[in-house]
Amino acid sequence: MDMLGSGQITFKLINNISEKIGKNSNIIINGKNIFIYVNKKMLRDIISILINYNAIPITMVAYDKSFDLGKFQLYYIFFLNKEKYFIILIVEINYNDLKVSSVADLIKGFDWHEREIHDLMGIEFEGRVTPRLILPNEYPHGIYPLRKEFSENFKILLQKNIDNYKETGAEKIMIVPIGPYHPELLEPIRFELCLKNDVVVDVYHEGFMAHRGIEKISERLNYDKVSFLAERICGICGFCHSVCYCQAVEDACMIEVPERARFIRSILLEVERLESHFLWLADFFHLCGYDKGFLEIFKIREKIMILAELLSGSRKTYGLNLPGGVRKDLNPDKVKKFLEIINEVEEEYKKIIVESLARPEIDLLKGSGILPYSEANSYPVVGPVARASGINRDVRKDDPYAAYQNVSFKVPIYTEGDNMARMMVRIEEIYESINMLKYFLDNVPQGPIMAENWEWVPNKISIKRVEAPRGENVHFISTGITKLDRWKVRAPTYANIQALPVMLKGENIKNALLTIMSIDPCIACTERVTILNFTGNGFKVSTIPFDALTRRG
Amino acid sequence: MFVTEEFRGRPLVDPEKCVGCGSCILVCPAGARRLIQEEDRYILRYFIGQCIFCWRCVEICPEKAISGTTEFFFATDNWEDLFIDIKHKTVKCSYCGKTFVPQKLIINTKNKLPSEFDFDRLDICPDCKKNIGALKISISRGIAYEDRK
Repeated sequence: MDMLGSGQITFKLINNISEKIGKNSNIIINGKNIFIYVNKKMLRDIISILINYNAIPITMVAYDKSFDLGKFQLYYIFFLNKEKYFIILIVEINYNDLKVSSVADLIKGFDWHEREIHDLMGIEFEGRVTPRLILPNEYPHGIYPLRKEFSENFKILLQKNIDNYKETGAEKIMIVPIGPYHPELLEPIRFELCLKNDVVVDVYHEGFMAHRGIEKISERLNYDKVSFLAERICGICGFCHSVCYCQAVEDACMIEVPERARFIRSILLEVERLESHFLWLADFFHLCGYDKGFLEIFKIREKIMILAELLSGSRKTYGLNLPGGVRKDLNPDKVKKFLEIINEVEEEYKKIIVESLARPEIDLLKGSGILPYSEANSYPVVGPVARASGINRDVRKDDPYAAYQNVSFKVPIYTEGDNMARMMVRIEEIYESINMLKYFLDNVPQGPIMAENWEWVPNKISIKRVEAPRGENVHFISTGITKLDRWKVRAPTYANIQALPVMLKGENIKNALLTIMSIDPCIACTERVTILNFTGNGFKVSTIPFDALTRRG
Repeated sequence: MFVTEEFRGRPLVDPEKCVGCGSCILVCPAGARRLIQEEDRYILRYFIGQCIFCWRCVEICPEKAISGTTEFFFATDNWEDLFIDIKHKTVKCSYCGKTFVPQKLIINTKNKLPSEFDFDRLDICPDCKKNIGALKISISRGIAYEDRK
């Protein structure tokens, strides 16, 4: 226990937990990761102890170890923000008895994780209903695609039964579907807003229509190819994912990344943040009806795209990371040109922001889509959404990676929790990013950019986080003999969408789209309206599929 | 449309320098480069549709046969324009007669090796090499060797 050093609170917490578990407690401390093996029956008690100590729930991973241990493992990952320890509860479940008690009522953030694990691994959670989250309803029961026994070549025929759906007469409740197909925006996600006199009374979400099983693909790829695969998780914050994956591998294999490579990574991470925030801001102005702002912001975003091309060789998906370092070096010419352009961008940006904040269209944002501090705390919200509701969380400050420990910067915090606050957080983050970029470029140390002479270490577990433009990415890896054995990614929008119903309830329909956009999931409006039956006991949640509608011509 | 000099566009292979070693195929993260084995020749096939322009092949090529360009516009009416093939004649194993490596690779390897090397063993395929090795071991130990063919 003396390995913990200054971690007084963590020490107390672990004592508390080992008293609760009793004689057979199995606690392994490995650097900043503390692994605790927990019996199924004690799980809920121990999680309530962790909640009392303000541990932040990060993610939950199911790991199929049936080939080597004959068991499934569930990892409940928490983070102690003050002393920066990961606490990982490991619950082992036998293959014959795949049941464990649910903790979704204690921690709302694990609700989606439990549903995902039930879909993909077939573990049952007692004390709750687990409706399908990722697999479509037509998918046969009893086939779990993330288990090791499942082969990628296995083909499943899906049959839609559209005769079950019938259109009914209109009454008081109107359901407005938003998505999944829309000409302006790209991501297939669907929200159903239940309206009563123009006010949203309930929200349903349906997503994961394009779930690609990217975690399964990684099991057959070589580890350096996975960093290119990770970059393709997201089109806007791909580099954050590849940095996060590479850092996890570097942690597991104990690779010392050269200082220069860390600086180049930080520079590109900030360039990506600028790209993402400018894109979001332009889209948001467009939705508010302020199209001049949209055009002006896109004009300066183009300059940032050229900067990214200058540094990395590509406008987006930079493809620069490998475990151990980066592949492309800086030179003095590039740095000079970069500083010239970034100064131009800063001046133009200041002008646009001063002009646009005085516009009447922007007033619409004040006081709409409120996520109060108390609710934000109970949901797993991250990034600008959390910071706009008064939660001071930023991985760059809390758990510094790359070169962020060398630079001082402010983390903008707002307490209003409305759409305006979420916009202001991002506007101020852009200023901070520009300042950070100037510092990084002036102070890049000399040296190599790639670590050499390292070896792959099998059977290691590592968790790393990176602050992406939309919030924090979490990558969990477990290394196999030559390849990855399990790779789990939690993207920021996964955490933020779960809090969206709170923001939308009680809101007028005219602000609903702005509120959905304000968490940056890239989803916009659709014009199709479906009218459903209101039974009196509650809202009937059934929609008419597109096939059924087109059948009638 | 113009791009900066640093832009990573389509990688081009110089067919004269290429020896068909296949390291670009091993390293390609997107699977855009593939090896097609035919009876008397090997084809290294590059498909632009799958290429992510990461230039791992440019970095890794031991003969420096692949060079990067800034081309990025590949719209075409003809599907076959998107494939670039490099064909290599193959060598037959002097023992079993199976095809196993491109001719150029053997010539290239000969040029690099010191002159005292046993050049006869270069055109024997890996399976036959194993068999010959096993035969030599069994003879030295005095064990009867069964012909594995």
